Amino acid sequence: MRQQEDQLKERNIQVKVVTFDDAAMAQAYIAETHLTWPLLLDQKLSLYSAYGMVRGSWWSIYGPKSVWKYISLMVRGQKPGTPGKDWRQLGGDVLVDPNRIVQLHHISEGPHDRPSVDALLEVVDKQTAFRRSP
Amino acid sequence: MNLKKLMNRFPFNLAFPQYRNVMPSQLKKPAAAFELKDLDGHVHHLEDQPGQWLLLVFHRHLG
Repeated sequence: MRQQEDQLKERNIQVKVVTFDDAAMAQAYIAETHLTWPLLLDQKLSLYSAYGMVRGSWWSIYGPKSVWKYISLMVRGQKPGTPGKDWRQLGGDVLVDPNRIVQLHHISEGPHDRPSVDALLEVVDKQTAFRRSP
Repeated sequence: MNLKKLMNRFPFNLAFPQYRNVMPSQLKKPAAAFELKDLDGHVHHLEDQPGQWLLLVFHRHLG
């Protein structure tokens, strides 16, 4: 996603990352990844719950699709991280329009399951009739 | 145990994957208000920076 940050900026999309991990872990994550977007702490899982992001099953975390995702990451030279305090907590993505209406609500079924940036941009483009420059 | 919890348990989650994460989609509904702090102590709200799209990326874990 960060490789396509310019496209997000072009469309006036503000990104906020939400985590349930604690401040120490969040600090270490920012130091390691040089994250430039705000990292919001939701240790009570209030926002996770509001969007139905629950704990996944063992199968959803370590099933074949997830294993394949981890293998493909490792082939590309990325190391899977050490699980945080709750390895079963699922994530997801929520895209909210300027009128504060949800235009995309994706609850991940596991680590393999995230919408692509192109899919997110398509939602915005459809709503705003944004025309990509050639 | 309610139906949602039951369906998320093995082996039901294998047999009935369509019932996992049974919360209805919030698509086209008003976004949930929030008030969350970042590491610098700044409080972030849904209504920050009006007129902009907002993408909330929920991490699984930061490890």
